[in-house]
Amino acid sequence: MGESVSTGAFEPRIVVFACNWCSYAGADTAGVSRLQHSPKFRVIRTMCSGRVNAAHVLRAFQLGADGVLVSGCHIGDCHYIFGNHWAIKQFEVTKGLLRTLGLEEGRVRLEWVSAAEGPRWASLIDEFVAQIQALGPSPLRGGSDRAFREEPVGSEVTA
Amino acid sequence: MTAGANSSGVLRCLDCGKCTSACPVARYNHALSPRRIVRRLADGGTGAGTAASAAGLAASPPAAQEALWSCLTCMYCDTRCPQEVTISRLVPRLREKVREGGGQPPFTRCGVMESLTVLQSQAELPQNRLDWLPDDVQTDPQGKTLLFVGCLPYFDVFYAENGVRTIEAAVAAIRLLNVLGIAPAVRADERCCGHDALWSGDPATFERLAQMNVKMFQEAGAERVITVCPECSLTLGREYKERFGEPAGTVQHLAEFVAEHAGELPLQARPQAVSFQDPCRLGRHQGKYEEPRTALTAVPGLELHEMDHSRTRATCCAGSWLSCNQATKRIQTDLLKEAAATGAQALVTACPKCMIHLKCAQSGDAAVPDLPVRDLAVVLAEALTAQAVATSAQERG
Repeated sequence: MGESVSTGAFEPRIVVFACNWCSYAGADTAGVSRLQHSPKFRVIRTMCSGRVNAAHVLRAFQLGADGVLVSGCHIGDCHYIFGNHWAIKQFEVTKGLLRTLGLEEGRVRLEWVSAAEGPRWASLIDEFVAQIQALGPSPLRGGSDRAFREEPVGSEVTA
Repeated sequence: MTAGANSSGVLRCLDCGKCTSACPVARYNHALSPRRIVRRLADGGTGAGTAASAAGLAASPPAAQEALWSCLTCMYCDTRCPQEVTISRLVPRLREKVREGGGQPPFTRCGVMESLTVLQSQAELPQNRLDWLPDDVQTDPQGKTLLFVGCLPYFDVFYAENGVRTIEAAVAAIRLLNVLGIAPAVRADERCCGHDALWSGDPATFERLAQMNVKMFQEAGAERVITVCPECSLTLGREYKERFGEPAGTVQHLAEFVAEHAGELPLQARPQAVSFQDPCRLGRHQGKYEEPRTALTAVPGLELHEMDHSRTRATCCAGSWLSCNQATKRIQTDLLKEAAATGAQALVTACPKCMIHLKCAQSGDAAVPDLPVRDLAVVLAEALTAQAVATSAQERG
């Protein structure tokens, strides 16, 4: 990772909100199954995808994210029965606000990944990373001098 | 002296407590006492002592800071103070201090509105903020009158679940201007005016937004700016003026402009009984009490039922993006009950934010009167004769 950081090429910063019961476990499954996939994302575990609202996604962009993925249990599988239905509603609001700000729709995605779907998680992450790589840096990067940090993703890990 | 305490006149305080007894928040939320804030600063006596007190407040634990965030800066206390202490001007400075010290405001809705304000201060921002423009209104990119729409396109996305359609006020404003022979400029590169950033203690974001808007006004060559939101007219008309002169020429809220031209509007009779909510930013902050009433009563058949709490005594809608709790809900409930008790069929306001906060209070609560909350511009535009609207569309088209 240290090498790729030093090249100065565009390193997408991707924030992934994963629900505790399905998607986070799905990511874990991908990991313990040693499925190779892009490491260019940061996971934030939430108890439910329904917890993630427009404010969280906007804050991620405010702090310099180039893409945000929200992931939860498949419809019908939500640990809290209807949390992912709520997630869909809130995601529509999020998309509406980002559209008004002028952000490309492809920078956000809502997906369902179960705890068993390790391979699906791996391919989804690769696909999303490639999608953000193609879109380039977010136009919303770095507006907040208070919050924006220049160091690339993973630098604290490399150090 | 730190935190602008002296310019706010805290040393003149007589400790009479009128501010706290008048404060709409203090009635229900004992965490806030304007008097306590002022005394704390004044008791230092000297400039240095005041600065230390301000720093002390900034360093106090979050619970003690609640007072600062729960203040609505509605200016009710200022108008009651016999010593002319301007508490509402002091609070944002103290908030700034607290934030400098690492304190975080308890933003409502997880801070979505704050994020939108900060994100709008991005240099490169390809906003789609004109999607709402209907085909049958006339706008002119070269127009000398600029309609400043503000954050309405964002509000309607986020508050759709509360049945909020603030953008109707902007559409109505354009229709009214069209009938008066004006095709206003409406800009896609407009930014948030920065009002909330300034009042919540984030002057850096305010400065960025203000500079962008000033540049936009200069590019547009605007000679007059009309706003739909009184927060925008307050910010452009006072804060921008203090810092940049008059980058946008005359700044008026739509109600002021319409009041000047009330006689020229072709209005038909629309019998209705309404009450009027004086938005704090239009009333107490800018002293515009008569203008919205002149505009509203220009509609033939419209009866204005005043609440006891109107004009300087108007109750604030209790909305800010810094506090939303049982105290604010009770203020809103009281306000709506008082409006309903006047026999009015609707409560008219001239501020999109009043509408948002009052509609939110009504959402899913049977105990709150479900009196329709309407925007002044919409009520006026509805009363325009169909013929006048058609003619104005034809002339310009």
